[in-house]
Amino acid sequence: MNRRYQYFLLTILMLLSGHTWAQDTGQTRITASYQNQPLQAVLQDLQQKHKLRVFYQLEWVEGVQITQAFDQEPIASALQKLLGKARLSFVLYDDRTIVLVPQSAASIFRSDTVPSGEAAAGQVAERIVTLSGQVRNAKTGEPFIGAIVLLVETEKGTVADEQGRYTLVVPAGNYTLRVRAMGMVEDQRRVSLQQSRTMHIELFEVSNQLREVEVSAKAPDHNVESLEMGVARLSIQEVRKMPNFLGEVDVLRSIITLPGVTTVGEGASGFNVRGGSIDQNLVLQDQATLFSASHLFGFFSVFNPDMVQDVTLYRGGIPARYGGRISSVLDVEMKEGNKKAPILSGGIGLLASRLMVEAPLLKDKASFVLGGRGAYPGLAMRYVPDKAVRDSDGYFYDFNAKVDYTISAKDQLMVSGYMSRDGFRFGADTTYTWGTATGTARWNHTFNDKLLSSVTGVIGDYDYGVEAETEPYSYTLDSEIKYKQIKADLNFEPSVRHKMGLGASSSWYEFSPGTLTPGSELSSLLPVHMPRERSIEAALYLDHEYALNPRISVSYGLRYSSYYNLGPGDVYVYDSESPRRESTIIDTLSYSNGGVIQRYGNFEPRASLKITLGENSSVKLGYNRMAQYIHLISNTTAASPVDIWKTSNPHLHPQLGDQVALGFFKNLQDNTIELSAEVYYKKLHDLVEYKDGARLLLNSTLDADLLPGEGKAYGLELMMRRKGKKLTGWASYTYSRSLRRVNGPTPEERINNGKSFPANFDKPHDLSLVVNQQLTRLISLSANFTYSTGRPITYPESVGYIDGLLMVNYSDRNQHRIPDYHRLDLAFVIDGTNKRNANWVSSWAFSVYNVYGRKNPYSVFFKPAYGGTIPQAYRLSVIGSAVPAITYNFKITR
Amino acid sequence: MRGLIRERYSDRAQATKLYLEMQIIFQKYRFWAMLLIIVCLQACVDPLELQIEAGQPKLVVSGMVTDHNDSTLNRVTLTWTAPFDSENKQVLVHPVLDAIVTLQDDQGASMPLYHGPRGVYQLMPDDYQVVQGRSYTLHIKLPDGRKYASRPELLRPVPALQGIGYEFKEFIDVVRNSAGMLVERRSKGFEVKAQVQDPSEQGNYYRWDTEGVFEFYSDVGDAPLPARCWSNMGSINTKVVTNDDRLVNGRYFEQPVVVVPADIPTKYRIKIRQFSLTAGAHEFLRLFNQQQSSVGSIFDPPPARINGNLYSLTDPEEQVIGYFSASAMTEDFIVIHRQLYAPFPGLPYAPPKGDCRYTFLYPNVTNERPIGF
Repeated sequence: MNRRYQYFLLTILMLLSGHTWAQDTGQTRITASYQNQPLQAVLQDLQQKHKLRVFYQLEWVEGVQITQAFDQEPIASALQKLLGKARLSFVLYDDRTIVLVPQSAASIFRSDTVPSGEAAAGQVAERIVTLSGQVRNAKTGEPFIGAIVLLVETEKGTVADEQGRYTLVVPAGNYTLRVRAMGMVEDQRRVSLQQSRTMHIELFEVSNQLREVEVSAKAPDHNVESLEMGVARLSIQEVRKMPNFLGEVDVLRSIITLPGVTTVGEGASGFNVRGGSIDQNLVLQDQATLFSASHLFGFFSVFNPDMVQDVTLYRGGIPARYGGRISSVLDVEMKEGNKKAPILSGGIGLLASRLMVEAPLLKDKASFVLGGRGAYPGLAMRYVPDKAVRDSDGYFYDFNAKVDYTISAKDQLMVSGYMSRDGFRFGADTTYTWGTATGTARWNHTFNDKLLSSVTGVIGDYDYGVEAETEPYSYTLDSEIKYKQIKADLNFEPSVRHKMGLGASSSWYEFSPGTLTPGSELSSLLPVHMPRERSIEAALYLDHEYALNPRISVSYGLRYSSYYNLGPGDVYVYDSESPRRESTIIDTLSYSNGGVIQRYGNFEPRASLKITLGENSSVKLGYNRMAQYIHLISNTTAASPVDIWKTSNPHLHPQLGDQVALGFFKNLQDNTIELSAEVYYKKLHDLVEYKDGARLLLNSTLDADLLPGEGKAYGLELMMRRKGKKLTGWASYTYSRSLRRVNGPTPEERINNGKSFPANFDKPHDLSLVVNQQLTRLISLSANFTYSTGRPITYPESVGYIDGLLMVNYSDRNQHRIPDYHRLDLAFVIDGTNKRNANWVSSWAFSVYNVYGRKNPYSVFFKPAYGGTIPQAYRLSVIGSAVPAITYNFKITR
Repeated sequence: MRGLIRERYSDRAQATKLYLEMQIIFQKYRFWAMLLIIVCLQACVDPLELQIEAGQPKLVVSGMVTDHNDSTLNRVTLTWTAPFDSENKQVLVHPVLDAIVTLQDDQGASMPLYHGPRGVYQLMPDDYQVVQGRSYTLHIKLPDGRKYASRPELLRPVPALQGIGYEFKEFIDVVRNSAGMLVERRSKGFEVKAQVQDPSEQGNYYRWDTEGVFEFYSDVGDAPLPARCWSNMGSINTKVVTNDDRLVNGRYFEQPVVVVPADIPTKYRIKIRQFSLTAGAHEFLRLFNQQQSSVGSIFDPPPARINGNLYSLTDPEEQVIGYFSASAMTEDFIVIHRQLYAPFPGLPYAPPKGDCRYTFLYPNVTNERPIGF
């Protein structure tokens, strides 16, 4: 507004001046010498010496250095020489007043005074301007995250951020601006950038939704050009097209098809990234940490697919703003409500259904979105021949809500909440329940084009429990994790070559690892209360991304995290000479409320380097160190949602992870084919391992059952990805190893005699193929094939009889492997409408999971048969046949 | 105008085509849905034939010493491990013969164990001098000179059994029938529970074992032959039963110990022996029980080697399997009148013909009436 007003004034000024310009002032002659001085200073000097008044905008002259000498030079030619560098022209308004104008603006008035722009640009540093704005959906007003904004002439692009905002910093000039987003008509327009300006772009939907075949949410050459490595982004549209299990669009299942990501098996919650365990992944939903990312024991993920906007997985090159986990960060952003019109959408599936409402609260300014899901697996389980399964029941429901409010062009407020509840009853007796509640509030403030800030506050609660009803052993066992977090981030982009981030965060944790309450008067059990654990984790970070030249960019950052384990609490002191046991406790230290039991601090450096090799290819090198202060305590093959979490204490040290990675990236065929190869090597310290047969629940001397382990992981990840065509998808192959070593001072504190052994999720070969073929405008077919080496297992070596019962004697830990895993899934999606701007859009999705019905072993176990006398090996497969499914999805716009 | 009509028409044609497609898919789907619900969603467990290359056989030691002077209790069995082989459906275990086995207490007293049949070494009543509160160590010397020992085990007191209760219940489990289909098998049985009052101090560890004796009749016609006999099944446990007082300290509790089968409608005498254990022995048996109960599910800890309290004196690297424990023992029995709960599911019971002592249907048969009948 301000700028437009200035232009207006300028124009009036010029129109008013009736007589020929540059008559009197033109007589002034200049004698001066400037050595590398800012243009602004030069102009000030001229103003003082020659009693001139020079009008201009500061940003036009910023950063322009002058080295020039004049001897009795007429002012007109002197100014021409001075201003050429800044691509400015001038108007001599009267004998004492000079108005500077951008060259193109000047040309309106006097084209002959404009020196050739190209010539000027060729010689000197160009004047840099900023173009920024927001990309929105014209119909709904929703911001477009991931819209690609490109200045065609410079081949310079960016991607709209979480608020749909974009910023491009380029030399002043005239450009073609091209904006693309999934499912939207491309917008192309000419823009004249003589000064920094804001331009909002509204995009219109492509009449047929299914033509959105593009899968990338980043600039077409982002993978090659950015400093990022080990980062994978999936748009929800992409996830939606992949074949799924029981018709449920699932973010986590899609993540597992990416290179470097594995799982121990079907129905296992969580995922393993580059040889890390599942608690080493930071899972964020709208910035709120989730402690369990799965519903129904891993068959569903907690992310409501309708609500998800964007999924990013950092498995390497983790930016300094993230911390607290050593393997990866999964950052899931939820969508904002429609700001133009109310929309109702939902889906009906075999096991679960969902419904979502979104509507503007204040047109174009504020909106809300509310989504819910519910599952009813009990309906299907009723038909299973196993009575234990038939008597079992499960459910889950979850709600997401988000309100966002654009207070002004510079301020935006977002409040988001999530609530979920899970329950699963095994047989008629034991019920497991768990639930998450989180709330996030974020305030974004734009100081100017270069400086942005955001302040985020998060509160969260994860509670889980078991209830048993059979007397005399009825009980309820409740555990809970509460946390609060506040963080502030500042982004500063002083120029196109520099990008800086600075931030701080602080988290408060309170863990209650278990309270056992007898179920009734009849119960023989005693109440047990495990003491609460409290801690604070604070961190400060700074990072800087710097483009040394067009070929080489570096980014480096440092995060310092500081951890306090707080009282009240008792700490057992174990005899340092012998292995920790209940019997080796020699003293108990008591700490008062708020007293610091233990403090840890860690510097976590991050760095990466990118070298562009040639057209569309680059090599990147990265290093990062991460620290983790809270740990999941689980010695089962797959963690269950009711496993306890524990915070670091004097015995349980923080886990540390160091990773170096080297990657080669190349794009072919106009960026439609992306190739990448990455190698990494990781060292993990103070991992949590367990003594054989450790008891983890309600164990007041749990520290004595835990062992510190060292880990090593390395791998090669190859990926080929095709996008923007009718046939899209990717193929990825990973060779990786993940090894553990526990070598304590006594035999009891060693595993496998201190030799390294493969981790539970060590699967050397892992191949994934994901393809999607758009058959017609309405129909698409997709397929997904997975192959991986069987995970390690401990096999029996021999058998013997103890008191007449067969005892199996096992080998060293994880020395054998279960058979290999492979599976093919198919999906077929029919979009139900072909109309333009239809108000009712619906689609049918059919899928078959495990098409050839392979009984992939989840585990191999050994159990004596015939009354406990004869050894027998069994193979357990969680899904033993092809699983077809159907889902109906709809969307109604008013 | 014409363009608009054409567009609408093509829309409708498209819709009709789609509808037909859907119809076909729907019919197919109905079939699939049935299939899905019937076949899938349940975990499939299949036996797997597995033969594992055997290494050097290892010594297995199993046994205990109790505060009762009874050589059927105070004994140690020494065997060699057999290779894991799930194909042969039988396990051949070789006994360790001619070993020298001695028991030592912490006062320096030494008691020899004499070699009985099949690798069993017994503490004879004449040599017996075991008391509560002392620690006992087992020493083994093999004919080839290898020496082994146990860590000392403290013989702790055990509270008396308060009583034995039982409950007639229906048990349902899923088994695979001959056609490979999963079917439910219902069976009835008597769940027998030990009633225990845990002492007030913490750290009590228990183990329960059983002895089952039942009555049966034979059809002798008019012949003057014994028609009522008793068979002693010995221990009828298929799993180790052990517990601690971590969650029940100082309380009365009932511990399910075994299920007496409801197969023939006669009296069944079930004896429960309750043993005290050390923490180490309990841990060993708890892990053994865990190994027997593991179903390979997602919540089972990965299998692991269970280390006992025996070690080699000649080669510290050599692994010895098993546990030697010292226990105080208390026992009680009840007689279950199964005929009161008959008829039982399954085929009707037909008594065998002839002298009941020589039917060869049951082990350890006698026609001398045991106590309790």
